[in-house]
Amino acid sequence: MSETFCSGPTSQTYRRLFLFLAICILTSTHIRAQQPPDTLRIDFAFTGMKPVDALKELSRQQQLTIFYVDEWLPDAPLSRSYREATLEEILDDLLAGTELNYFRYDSQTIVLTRNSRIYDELPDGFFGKPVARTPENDQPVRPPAPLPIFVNEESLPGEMQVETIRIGRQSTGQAGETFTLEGYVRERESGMPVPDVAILITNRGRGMATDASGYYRLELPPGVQELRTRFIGMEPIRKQVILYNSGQLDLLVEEAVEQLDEVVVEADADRNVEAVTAGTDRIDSEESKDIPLVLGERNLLEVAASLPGISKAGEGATGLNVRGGRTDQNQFLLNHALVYNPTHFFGIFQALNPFVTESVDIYKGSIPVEFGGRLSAVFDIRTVDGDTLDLRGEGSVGPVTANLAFEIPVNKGRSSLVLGGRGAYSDWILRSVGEERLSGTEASFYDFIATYTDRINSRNQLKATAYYSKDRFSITRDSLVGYSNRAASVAWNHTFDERNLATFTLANSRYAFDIGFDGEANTDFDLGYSVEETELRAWNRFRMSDRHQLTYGLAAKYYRVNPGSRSPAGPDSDVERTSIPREQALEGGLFLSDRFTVSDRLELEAGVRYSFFGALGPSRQREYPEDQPRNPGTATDTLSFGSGEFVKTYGGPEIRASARYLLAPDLSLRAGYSNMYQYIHTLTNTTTVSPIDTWKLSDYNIRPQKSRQVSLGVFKNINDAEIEVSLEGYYKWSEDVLDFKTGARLLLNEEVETEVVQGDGQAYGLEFLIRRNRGRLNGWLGYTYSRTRVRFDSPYPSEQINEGEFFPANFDRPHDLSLVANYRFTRRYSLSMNFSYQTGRPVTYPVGQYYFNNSEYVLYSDRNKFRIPDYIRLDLGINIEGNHRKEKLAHSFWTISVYNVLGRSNPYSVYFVSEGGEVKALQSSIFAIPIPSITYNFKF
Amino acid sequence: MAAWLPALLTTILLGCVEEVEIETDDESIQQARNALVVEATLTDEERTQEVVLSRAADFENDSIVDFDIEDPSTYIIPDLDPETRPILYESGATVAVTDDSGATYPFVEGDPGRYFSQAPFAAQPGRSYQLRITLRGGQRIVSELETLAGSASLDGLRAERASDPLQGEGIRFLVDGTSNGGSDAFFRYTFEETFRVVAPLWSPQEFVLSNYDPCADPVEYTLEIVNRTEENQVCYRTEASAAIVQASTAGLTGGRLRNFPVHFLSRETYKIAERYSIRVRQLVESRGAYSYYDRLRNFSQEGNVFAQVQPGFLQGNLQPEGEASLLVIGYFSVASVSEERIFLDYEDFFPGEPEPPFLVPCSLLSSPEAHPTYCPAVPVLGGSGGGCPLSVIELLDLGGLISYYSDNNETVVTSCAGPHVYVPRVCGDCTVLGSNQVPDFWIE
Repeated sequence: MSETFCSGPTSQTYRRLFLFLAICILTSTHIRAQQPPDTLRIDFAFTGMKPVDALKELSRQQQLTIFYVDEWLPDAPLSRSYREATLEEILDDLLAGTELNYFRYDSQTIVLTRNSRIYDELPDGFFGKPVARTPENDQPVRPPAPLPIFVNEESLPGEMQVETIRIGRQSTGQAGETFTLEGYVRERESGMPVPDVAILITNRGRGMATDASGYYRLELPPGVQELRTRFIGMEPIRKQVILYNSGQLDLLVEEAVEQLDEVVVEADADRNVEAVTAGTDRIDSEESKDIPLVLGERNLLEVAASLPGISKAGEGATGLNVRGGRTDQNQFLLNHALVYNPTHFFGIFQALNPFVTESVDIYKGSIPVEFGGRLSAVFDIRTVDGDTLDLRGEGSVGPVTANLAFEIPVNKGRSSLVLGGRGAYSDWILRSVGEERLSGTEASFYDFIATYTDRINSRNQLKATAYYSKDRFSITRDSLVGYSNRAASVAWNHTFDERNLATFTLANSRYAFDIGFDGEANTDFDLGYSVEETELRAWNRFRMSDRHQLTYGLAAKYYRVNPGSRSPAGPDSDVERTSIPREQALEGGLFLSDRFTVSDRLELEAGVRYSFFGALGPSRQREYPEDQPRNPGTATDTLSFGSGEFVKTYGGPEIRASARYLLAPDLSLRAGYSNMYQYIHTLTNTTTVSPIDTWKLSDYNIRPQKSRQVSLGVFKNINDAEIEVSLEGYYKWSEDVLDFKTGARLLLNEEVETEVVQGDGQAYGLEFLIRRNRGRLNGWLGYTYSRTRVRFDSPYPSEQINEGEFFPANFDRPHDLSLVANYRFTRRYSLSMNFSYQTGRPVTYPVGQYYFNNSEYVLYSDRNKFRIPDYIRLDLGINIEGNHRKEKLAHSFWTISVYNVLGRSNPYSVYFVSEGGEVKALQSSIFAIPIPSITYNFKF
Repeated sequence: MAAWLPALLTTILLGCVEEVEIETDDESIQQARNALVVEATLTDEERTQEVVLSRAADFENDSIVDFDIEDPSTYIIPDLDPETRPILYESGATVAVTDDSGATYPFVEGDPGRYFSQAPFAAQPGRSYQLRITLRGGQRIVSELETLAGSASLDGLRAERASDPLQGEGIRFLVDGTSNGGSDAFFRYTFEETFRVVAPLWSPQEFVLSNYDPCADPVEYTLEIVNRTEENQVCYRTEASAAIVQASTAGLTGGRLRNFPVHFLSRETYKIAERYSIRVRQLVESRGAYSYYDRLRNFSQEGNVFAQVQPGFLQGNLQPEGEASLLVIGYFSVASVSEERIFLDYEDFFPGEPEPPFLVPCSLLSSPEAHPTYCPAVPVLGGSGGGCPLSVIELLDLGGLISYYSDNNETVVTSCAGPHVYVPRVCGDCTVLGSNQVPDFWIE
């Protein structure tokens, strides 16, 4: 690992030199303007020459530089005579019947391409001296394969079939008319524009390399274009583009096996939805805009919950449950920085500005090695890179919030600043409502994000992000709760050479809440809690060869938790100042993975991450005897640890392995295995998660949570990927998951380990997804059958839950069905719907009542024995796009939606109160009525 | 602003709450019936110690009694007396406390479910105690070993005029507690309120109903108005505290709890209309007991719509022996007790200010003395009462719901008025609320 970033000269010098030169060829001319058709007519004749020799002769006569490999060309001698022919005509004829294409860079340079293997092998002597042969480029050239031309293609998961994209609307153009296809190529991971990517239209022999800003532009005849990209170190993209008119096609290129190529075709092309691979989902922010959601607020996390394997405990429940995982087992990364609670107002609104958010990648199966620390899922949220040329803006006005985002070029063509802000004006509304029941309540939130992207040069890109969100609410008369997220990150992408792309990130995040209690005269207090983490990550993607791509790196994180302090509020308060000592810890990871292409059909990604955690002093930890229940009275000793001293360390290797086998070009099997460690846990004693749950680090007494997951899935594409179908099953074992003794006091409890029980869990599920990506009617239907059960057993009854038997977890919802559909009537009008059905959440019911201490109490027994009624909800929405006239200043659209059209009062919780000596069961629902909303969106 | 918006925000912020049927199943019913409630706090006072055993009630067998009379507010007497509550006491058990010296303190059943130590005894410091119960069926239950968790003094019980955001103006009772040992002390406060009740519409005479036959036609009865023979104008009512009030000296300097509010009385309560006394008992309990009561209290508080405390069975320190489906509720606690009593008068705190209203609104009422027969030879269509309240004799027959006030000399003029003016019994007879004996400790 000492040469992690391969910056020094190595034995690979030649190879890299070769690659470098290959790129130099491509970059030698930055063709930005369209290439005029070569009208030069030439005469050229030969007899009985091998095509190779003919080409040599042609290049000599016309002073052309033609790149090719001798072996590519057939041996049979030919005779030809061309008069006043264009170079293209000659080449077309010469190469007819071969699988070769050519690629013209400028008037004097031509590159012959053979479908899939081009720049990794060039003729000896090309550089004026022999190229040292290395195993990677010493592969035998494969024999020519018959048509179709897509042979020898590296198959990617999800690229089992070539996607077809339609650009523009058919117009009655004249024959011979050409259209412009233009766009940007960016690296998916970093969002960096990728220069020098060869964009080849293989069936037309056109090609072009992207310029420094990743831009390309091609003049093409209408019709089918076989588009491919080539760039060493990046996965090739292959698309079938049907060009009806001029249009824009942006391409994202990438490297990892878990990820997919994605195509976003803007404005006037049909929308495309990317395919889904095993255990990975992607949600595009733009895509989510058509899905009707509560109060017209776009919510990616809500969309995520409509995908199989991801669920929510209910409206108003913060957090998502992924494949039977607790909500604290998810990692929400915003441009690499963790956001502890990416929601506002009890999870009803997302705390992400929808206009600034580009997409969310969700890893719920085999999580890539560069991520670690949470058991269930990674939500990798990326923001847009700002426009570097023009000022752009986007905004919306809805019933609850107003959103605004700007993309501001800073250094033309190089850097851009993105600013996004959002605020709720509910406070103002609440005040103006004057409703008696709402007096004393307050609710407000806002979030703000700024990102700065600077493409310093072709090798370096910097992206800096600052994010802040804040919520304040008061539901009871005497307390005011506020919470905030802060996240900041700097990510630096550095291309050492074309085979080594390194990323360095430094991120800092903080989550804090405070409760102000202003109640009876002398007990007012302010309670504060915060958790903060700083992480440095560095990793490199090294494309060792066509068959092996390595990712390796390290991560180090420092945590600091202020578990809480309480101070008197106001001079009349008699509350003692209390403060639970600060906790700190280090978490680290060393990782390596190899994406290994075993054969055309079989591809493996095998990785290992060594995970390490150390709780750091200063700290005082209590020791409890093994043979007694853990409670404050049984502590036998208190251990003191000095500053910086390790209190306890945990760790171990994590295996992340997945494999894909192609049964047919459009049918694949995927399997995965992974195990994970998690060292930070939420402490919650409520049935659903709330914003004032605290995060607790593992310590002397609280062990990390662990999980193992196996998954197996089958993926099928139908009709040229128009319809994707997948079925995936998983089984997950967890160990040392946390729960709490009934009635635990968690806030400001220094001996919180006496309230914690750690148990094991089993979760399994089968996830089915059918998705139509194209056409007027698109959307998906997802169904999940899953069970999640947990067990907390102990020799001591006080540490058991349900007598130590397995019981359903709070979020165990066996049947989960989601249907999301969007029907586009015309270009301007579309109708969307969202239907969801879930089995009701388990709930603990009282079984009786009793008198104790002169009062009546409710007797609860087995936890989660009953279920609240099933959840059924239908939302409808209409999107009306503004007209598309170009001269219009702003593009706008309206979203009109009705949430919960059926008006069903879906219970969120059932609880029990004693009123007038009688126990009553009360059921609460958050949105029990149809909720209409209208949102105006604009863009300029 | 669109009209739906306020409704919407109300919905979001308050949620929609509706009452639903409580689901139950046979297993739950069985579980409830198998739950034994043990109330046992052994104190360091030399006295007869008490253990109360009862059973939980399932929802099928909901034993809450309610009166179905036309206008309940007029007649109902709040059922505040624990003795009259429909508690399923557990009789026939064998109860004993043992200590680590081998001594056994047997208990005998007094009232059903209430077991008293045969001889007075006090918990001794340093000694471990265990509660042993054998139910009638032979099922044995034992507690963990418990010891006195230090002692503390209760200093300065006092009352002050104060206001409370929910209950408004009133009187707050404050205590200071000082731990005698060096370690943290965990306090549970119980209190007993005793106050004088004066029947607001008392009359020296009362109804006596006899020879009543509602089926005779006409109805047969003898209604006399006689002079009262026992004191029922001035009584003394005692109520035990029901709330769980706890505090600890953990984190406090000097192990001293100061100005801790144990109780708040609204000035609107009839309890302080006359003379009022409160005896506060401070129990120093173990941390385990403190935690048990704390959780119990936490459960019975209503959370908000978004955060429901996860409920469950609260495990105390009592366990059935062997494989048993019995759930044991309660915590056997050994506590050091100190107590203090104070007296106060309304006038001391609210001089010259209006007195608090009585427990129920008391007004003069009248209705016909008798009613038509319940068993007419010819059925009467449309009922027999003519829309009037129950007659005097019916109200008396239902358990003495009214008290005589005076003859009706146009005092009450309604279409239903009868010859007598009466009042709800609680307004004219204080023995409904308390005892007419002056308590031993009472100081005027």
